[in-house]
Amino acid sequence: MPDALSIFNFIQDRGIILLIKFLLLLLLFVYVIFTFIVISRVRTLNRTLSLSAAHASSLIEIIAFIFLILSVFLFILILVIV
Amino acid sequence: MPEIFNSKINKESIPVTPTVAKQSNPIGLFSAYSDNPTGINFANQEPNENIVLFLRRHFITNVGWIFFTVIFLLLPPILTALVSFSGASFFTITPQLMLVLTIFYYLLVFNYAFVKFITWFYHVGIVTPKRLLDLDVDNILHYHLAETGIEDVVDVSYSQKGFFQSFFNYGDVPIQTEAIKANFEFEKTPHPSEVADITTDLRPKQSKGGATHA
Repeated sequence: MPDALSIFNFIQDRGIILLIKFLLLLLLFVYVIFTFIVISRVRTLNRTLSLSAAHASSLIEIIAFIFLILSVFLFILILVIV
Repeated sequence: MPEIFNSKINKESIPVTPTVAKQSNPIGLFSAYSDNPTGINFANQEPNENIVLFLRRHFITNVGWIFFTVIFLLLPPILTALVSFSGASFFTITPQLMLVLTIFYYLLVFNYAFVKFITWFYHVGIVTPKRLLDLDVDNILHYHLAETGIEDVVDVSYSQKGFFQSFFNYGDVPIQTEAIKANFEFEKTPHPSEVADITTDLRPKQSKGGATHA
């Protein structure tokens, strides 16, 4: 009887983890699309308004690109490790 | 017979004489108000067109999202401490999954702050001796650029509402233009009285109306 319960718990935990993984991948996919939109919008706005002070325009573009790289990295990390 | 009205007067032939001091100010990353700023260029700017005023919303308007960002950053450690203190456990999460969840959460929080900063950073108003530009970035998916000639400005006013606007000296500067065209508004800009005054002074002398200070 205890063995059956532990197997049930194992399946339940495993199922929850898989569900979380699937949801995370879905969310990250949406998030990656969103970061693409942010990058394109920043580029458009930089063409409209360019601030050379402290390299602000290019700095913001770089930060937006870093967000994209991090999200793609996280997507791969979930696929491989979790 | 004396001439009362002549519609053939060429508005462009009347010289624009800005009364603003010519001392140029290098603009900072977080500048919300700058007169005669340097280091800014906008699309379709003419070579001899200098910027008289550069405006953003007052930096104090960012306090809301900065506060929420700090709360969101502090939330996971507080929740972890509370859960470990109570001894409750809902289900087992592997350390790898916990790491990924944490990274994703902080990525979302930092992205929230970044997008909020962008909407503040690019939400600008520009005044030159020739035109007004109003770049409204309400959110990352919606932005609107409006432009009008300075000769089309009919009326400039300003308003300050509430304690914060009075205390930090910021407010709205609605600018009424020729009837067909859309009206402009520099929202929550610092020193609204000076903005209204400078914009009024830049108008050609034959323009109708005058600045009304609310």
